[in-house]
Amino acid sequence: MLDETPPPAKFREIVLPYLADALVLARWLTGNTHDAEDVVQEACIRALKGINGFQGDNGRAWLLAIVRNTCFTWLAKHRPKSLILTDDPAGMEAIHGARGEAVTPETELILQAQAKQVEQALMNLPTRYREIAVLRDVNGLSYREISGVLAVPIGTVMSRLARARFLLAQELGLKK
Amino acid sequence: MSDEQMIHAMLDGELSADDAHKLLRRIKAEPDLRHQYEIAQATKTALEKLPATTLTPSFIAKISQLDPKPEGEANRDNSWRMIAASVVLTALFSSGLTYVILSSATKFDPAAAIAAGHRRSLLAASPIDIASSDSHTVKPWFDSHLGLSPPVVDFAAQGFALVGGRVEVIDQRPVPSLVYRHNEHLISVVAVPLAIGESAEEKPKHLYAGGLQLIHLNQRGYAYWFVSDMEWAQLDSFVADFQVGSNNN
Repeated sequence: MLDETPPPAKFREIVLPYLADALVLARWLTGNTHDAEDVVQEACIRALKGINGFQGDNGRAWLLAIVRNTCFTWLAKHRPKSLILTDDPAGMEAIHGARGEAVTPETELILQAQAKQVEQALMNLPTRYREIAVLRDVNGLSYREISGVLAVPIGTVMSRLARARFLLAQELGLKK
Repeated sequence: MSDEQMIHAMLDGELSADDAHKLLRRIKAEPDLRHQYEIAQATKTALEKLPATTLTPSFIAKISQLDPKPEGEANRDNSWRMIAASVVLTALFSSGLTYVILSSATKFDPAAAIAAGHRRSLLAASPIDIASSDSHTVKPWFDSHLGLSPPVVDFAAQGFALVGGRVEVIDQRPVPSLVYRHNEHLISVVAVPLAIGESAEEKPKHLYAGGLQLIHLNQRGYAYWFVSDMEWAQLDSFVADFQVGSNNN
């Protein structure tokens, strides 16, 4: 397939509209906006180099997949300890310690949680759960798009997202 | 799918209306399920209320300036580049971001104009000026309105039905545009007559403009622009049919 649009023009068309989405994902994966900008810049360089190979119809999912990979490379280099990609609940307990008894009513507690608390709770989640919560509730991606970005089946998206929100509810101070 | 997953899927609008209705009835009846539902909803709301991450103009400017050249080349003469970059950045800051957007639009870009025309046609009351699936109606209509017409062929048998034609104005020139339908998608085929000396035969080129897919090719005196929101594979297959069909006409 021929494609002679100069890369910068194609980059403007496909990547730039989703820069905000890219920054949001990177912000929650790295933990702050400053590092997120570095990661997104790196990801955009990768995207620019690979832009002529892009033939799909979803520029946002394509860019977010690149941002995600760039984030993981970056985290492995700068904060290897933070990079926990586990589905293992036992491992989770070990990281966060055992939980106390529930405070009621739980929903009131979550709803009253301040932005700071939610932010902290989200950052306490292992990367695997944090990213899916962000892709869905902050970026607003559909299950299908998330499945594309994470390269996992829709069934996995559903179970992991349910688990992510469950863990977040726990972090916000309750246990089911 | 577990009940818990169903609840989340419903909150995310990913459950069919029928399933959602059934689930809601159960949630009303079963206190346990209702409890799960309330927690899930509260958690989702908390996530959605997180403070926004904002793009700064300086960051957008930085990304817009990224250089696609290989690293080795880019690093050469670095000091010069730094000065140039700082001058550019200052200019961007002082004149605002609109500069970036406007400056890229100063040169006439046929692909962008054709994509914009296609989009306008979708927003208009009708995407066509002459509605007909009969090529013997569309061709004379173009002839009488523009004094020329490209070959008009219906590809209904291949799944691309001719729905009519309209006049596009590209770079201040009225040109014929054929309109085809494939399932829910409309395809505009803008045919710009080639000037003397322009290469009459050129292979298809794939382009993006205005969020749409375009294919450009020159054939038998016309520069054709195929524009649609269809996937590449479908657009490719249409262009292949079109090349054969209009050549035999």
